[in-house]
Amino acid sequence: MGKGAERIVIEPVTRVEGHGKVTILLDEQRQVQEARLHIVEFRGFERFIQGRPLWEIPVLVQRLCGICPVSHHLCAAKAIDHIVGADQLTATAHKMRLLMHHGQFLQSHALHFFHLCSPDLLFGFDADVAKRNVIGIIGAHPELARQGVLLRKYGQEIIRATAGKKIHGTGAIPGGINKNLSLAERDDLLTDLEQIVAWSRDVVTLAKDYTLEHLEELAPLGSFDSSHMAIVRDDGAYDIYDGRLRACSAEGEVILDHADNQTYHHVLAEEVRPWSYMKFPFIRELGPRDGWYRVGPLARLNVCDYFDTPLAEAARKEFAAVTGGKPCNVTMAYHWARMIELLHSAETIDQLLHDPDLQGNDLVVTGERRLEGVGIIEAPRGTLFHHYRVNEDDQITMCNLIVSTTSNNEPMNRAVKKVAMDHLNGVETITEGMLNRVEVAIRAYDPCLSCATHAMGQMPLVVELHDADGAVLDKRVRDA
Amino acid sequence: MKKAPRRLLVSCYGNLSRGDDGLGPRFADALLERAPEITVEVGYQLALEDAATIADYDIVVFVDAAIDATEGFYLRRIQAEPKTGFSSHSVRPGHLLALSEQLFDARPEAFALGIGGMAFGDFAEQLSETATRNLSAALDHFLAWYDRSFCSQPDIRVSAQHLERGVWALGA
Repeated sequence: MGKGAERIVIEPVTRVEGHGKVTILLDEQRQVQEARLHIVEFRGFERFIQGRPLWEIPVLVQRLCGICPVSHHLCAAKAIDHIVGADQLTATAHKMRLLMHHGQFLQSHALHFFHLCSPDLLFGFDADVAKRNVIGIIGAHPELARQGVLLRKYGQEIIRATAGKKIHGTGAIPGGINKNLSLAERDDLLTDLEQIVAWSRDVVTLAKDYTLEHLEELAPLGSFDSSHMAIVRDDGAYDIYDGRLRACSAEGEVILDHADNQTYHHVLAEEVRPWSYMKFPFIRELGPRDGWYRVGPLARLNVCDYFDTPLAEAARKEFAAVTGGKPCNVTMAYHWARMIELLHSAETIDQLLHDPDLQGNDLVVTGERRLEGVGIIEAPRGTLFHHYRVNEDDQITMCNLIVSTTSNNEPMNRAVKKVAMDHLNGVETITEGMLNRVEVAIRAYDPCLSCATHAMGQMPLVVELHDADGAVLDKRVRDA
Repeated sequence: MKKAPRRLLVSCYGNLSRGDDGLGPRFADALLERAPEITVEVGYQLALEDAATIADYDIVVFVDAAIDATEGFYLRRIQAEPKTGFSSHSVRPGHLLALSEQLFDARPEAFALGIGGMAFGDFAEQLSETATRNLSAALDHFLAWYDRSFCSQPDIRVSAQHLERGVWALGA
């Protein structure tokens, strides 16, 4: 290996959704000069949507991504609700959408924890890469792997029952929902519910115990102080479907609260950087340098005041106690926070399935027509914004999307740089385990890179070492 | 001795917005028009939890657009294909068969029905002319295969419960 400046490339990053690469530039003393997460996909969905009829949007936007289509479906529906003047949905419509959303959280969080990140947590970051994968989990922890699949399947069945299909459903329509939940559908879903809640409870314990037992190793890994943002209800309660923006500093000071969803662009702005297709959002008041923030499970637990379900609230209190009630800035704590959310979704599904409003027949409302609408929702990966303008012929004339992974763009880049500086600075031989730590820090955010840039990923892993002139010094290829 | 019932699942997947990639879902629509008793799953792509779904069946046919169907379409037997890692953006039928075996101790017979397409690159909601022809030929071939395998045997019986669920059962 050459002794001059080197550029390390991890491409694509594995066990994340979509296609990105990491480059790390080392100087002649092998000190990290620069480390970046590059998003190498581009779709241009916002442009593609222009000219389409507004009623089509909640269905169309699901094609942004097959991973979290429900978030786009519901967020677009909320924006279109505003345009059609549906400011207050019926109880049945609201609760059907809520059930759909919690079904998605359950399936998405289960997939990530059990099958994408658990190999790192259960085998260790330096474990043999031949073992540190989903097959290794199936071999060593088959019951855990099975639970992961069945939790995800259950979440998908909730989506099927509420949206009509597991992928790209049509449930949410402008002003409401196109179906209720039949008694037969409800009874089918109730059959496995007790088991689902029990497994969700167990996995919170697993995530908590893992985090606390390994806190010394986890606390610095890709961690840094940051602001956090999410929507919360007016009383500060955690809510993934409806609420207003709240952001706090790393120390817990409120930066913004009860921000009006329809004028989100008064409090947030987006910066473009030439080396990435993803934009960099920031809080206007703080500017692009200091205004970046984190979203997703960790941020949601940091900004909310309480959960309205008992098991998740008890788990949140345990989580908050570790930092004395102040925001937690440990990147790897995303996993524990994510599992508390999974438990909350299981509990909420339980409550909703016992609510007779789901069998109501009052499904749609209308109101005074507007030419613009914004929907904000908490997607599994963080706050999601859909903003549309329409003309008098009901055609979309403008679309702006800020997807969750975009908000975590700056934090993921900081996490990559932090890990690179902590583990690669001055090191003569760079091991696979060192490079895996870079990926571990990215995986904590559960990024959906396809979604964030809006294309289909190719998933083999190629790691290349380049010298200062760009010549490839070493190359490894592995299957994803 | 009574034979165990054979349960058939047809799993069709693809993206209706990507031209001929939508062959799978369009096959599902056409199949259900002509044989509504068959259990059909339709998806944008295969997903991990489909391993649990296929574990409940004896025979699974995966239907997808293909770029290597030189005769217009193919119907091939496929085997489990263990994989060390995966992305939910890319799950192949063989991966699901392996997962189904590893996690649920289930080994359904499996076939891939690949239907030849030509145009995948652009946003388009219509099939190409070639794909439309291939779809029609593949459907006829599948129905003939289905009829031979499931409907034409003298000992066929369809229980009321299975009919209701859209599952044919065979047995003495």
